[in-house]
Amino acid sequence: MARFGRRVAVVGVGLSDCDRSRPDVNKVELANESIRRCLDDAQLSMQDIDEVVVADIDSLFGVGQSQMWLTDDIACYLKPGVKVETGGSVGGSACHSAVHHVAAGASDVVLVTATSKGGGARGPVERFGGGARAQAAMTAGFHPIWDRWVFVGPLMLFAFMANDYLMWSGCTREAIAKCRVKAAQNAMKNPYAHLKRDITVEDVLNSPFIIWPLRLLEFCPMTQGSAAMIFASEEKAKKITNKPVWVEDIVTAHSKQYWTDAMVPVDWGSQEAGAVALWKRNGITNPWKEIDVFEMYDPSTWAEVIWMEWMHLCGKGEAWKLVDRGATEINGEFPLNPSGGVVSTNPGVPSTTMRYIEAALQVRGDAGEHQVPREVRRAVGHGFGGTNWNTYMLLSKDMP
Amino acid sequence: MTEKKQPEVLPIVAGVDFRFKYPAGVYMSKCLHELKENAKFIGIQCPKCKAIWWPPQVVCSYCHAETGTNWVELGPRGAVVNWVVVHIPSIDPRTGELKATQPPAAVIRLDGPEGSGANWLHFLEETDLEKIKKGMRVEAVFKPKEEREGQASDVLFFRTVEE
Repeated sequence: MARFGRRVAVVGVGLSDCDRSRPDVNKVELANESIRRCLDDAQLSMQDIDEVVVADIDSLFGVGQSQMWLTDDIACYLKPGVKVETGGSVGGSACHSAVHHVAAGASDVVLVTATSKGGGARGPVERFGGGARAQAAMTAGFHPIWDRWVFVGPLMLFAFMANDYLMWSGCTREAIAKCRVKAAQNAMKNPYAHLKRDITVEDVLNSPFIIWPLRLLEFCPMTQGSAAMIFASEEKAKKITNKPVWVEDIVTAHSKQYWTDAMVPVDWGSQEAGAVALWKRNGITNPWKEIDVFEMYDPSTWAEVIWMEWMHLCGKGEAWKLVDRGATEINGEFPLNPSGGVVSTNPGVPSTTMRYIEAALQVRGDAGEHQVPREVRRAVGHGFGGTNWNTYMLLSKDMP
Repeated sequence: MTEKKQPEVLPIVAGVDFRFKYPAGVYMSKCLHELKENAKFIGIQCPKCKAIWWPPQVVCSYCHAETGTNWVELGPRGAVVNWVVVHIPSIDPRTGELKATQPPAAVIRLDGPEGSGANWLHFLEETDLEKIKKGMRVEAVFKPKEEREGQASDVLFFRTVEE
């Protein structure tokens, strides 16, 4: 049974090449790269698209109302369109908007486009690869009077998260390092990943602190890249592809105005609320056994481990032990982030779209070298953004 | 067999200097006024679910009740519950200036009435990581009154205290 009105399926996905910087193209050209690949994947043309949903985070890139100069060139000329902005989860929220519109019968074939061309670093912080500037840009999204005073962007949040987990869980730094190496090994199999370095546990353990106790290699890079997805109604999907990936459910949960509350006792209530809603209303009693692939938005390796617990994939204090024994490897009992995850590739705007795309590719069996070696019937993609805006999409090979 | 050279893609440097006034609002203005004039932390307690909001706000984020006038005094002492140390230069997004270093940042649970409290992110005076412990008691150190502006920075840092 379809959860929202009409049944909806993913019928096409596309990713651009991702790198620290793509100085060879401007934003429209980069968006076009993933959109053309997405149209090719669905074997559709621009004329087949009924509506476009644009995802963006203008404040990070020194622009305003990017939809004005993007839409004409991304299939939206004289067509319905909407722009969505929910921080790091925006690439997911835009997909949810597309699903709603198709399910409601407003459109039959909807394109989602998410592109990041940000992070041009200049001045005294250039040698840090623009990191300080990016953190400042993200801090500028926080409360102007209250939260900008001490904060150093999301980096500080994840450092607090690491310190809290180290204090109570018994977690070893080696377990976290193993998880980071797992991400690197998966990314090396993914042609669209950004960081593809054959790193070792020692490399992670010896990488410098950026914010103690968070180490450089435990955090995501800044990436430029683009992602596109096409969602279609049941009738259209069956005509477009013989491998539709069905949207079984979507969930969004959001929490916290002030970030201090999220730091102690490190409350990830919205990760939990979203996941619990997803499991409960889809009759999933043991996600560890019932979900074949989970693609999580992991800005830091610490987030990947700690959020496993908050998403009820395992018990409190258990995640680091599971990671330590390799349970989340691509061929493990619960393949987590076979794409290499956000910690390997983080363009921000399309990062959640990329999680959903990976989940869809895994269900289709089209993930190539990073396809998990098991039958995938159900996969989950997760998105995260400030402040604690979490999105989930449950995808299935079987029509709901 | 010579590869045709593509023309270089030109970057354009653009800068816009936005300056604007941000209204603190009714609740935060009262709290900032108390910081400036009386060196006091004034939070608000939700009349319905009893959650304490620091800074004070017009509605309770949890149960959405209007918070009304149920002001509560917090601090100036509290306990350290989490802390981190920034190792990279960072940009102060309020001014655009580079901060080469900053003292350890901590989440401090300010003491509230009847064993309650509220969290605040601020700096510690103590810089020796070996000496910073969970539960460590600290007290706010204010700027002299004539230098206070009604900002979070009216508190310089939190100093370790023996109790």
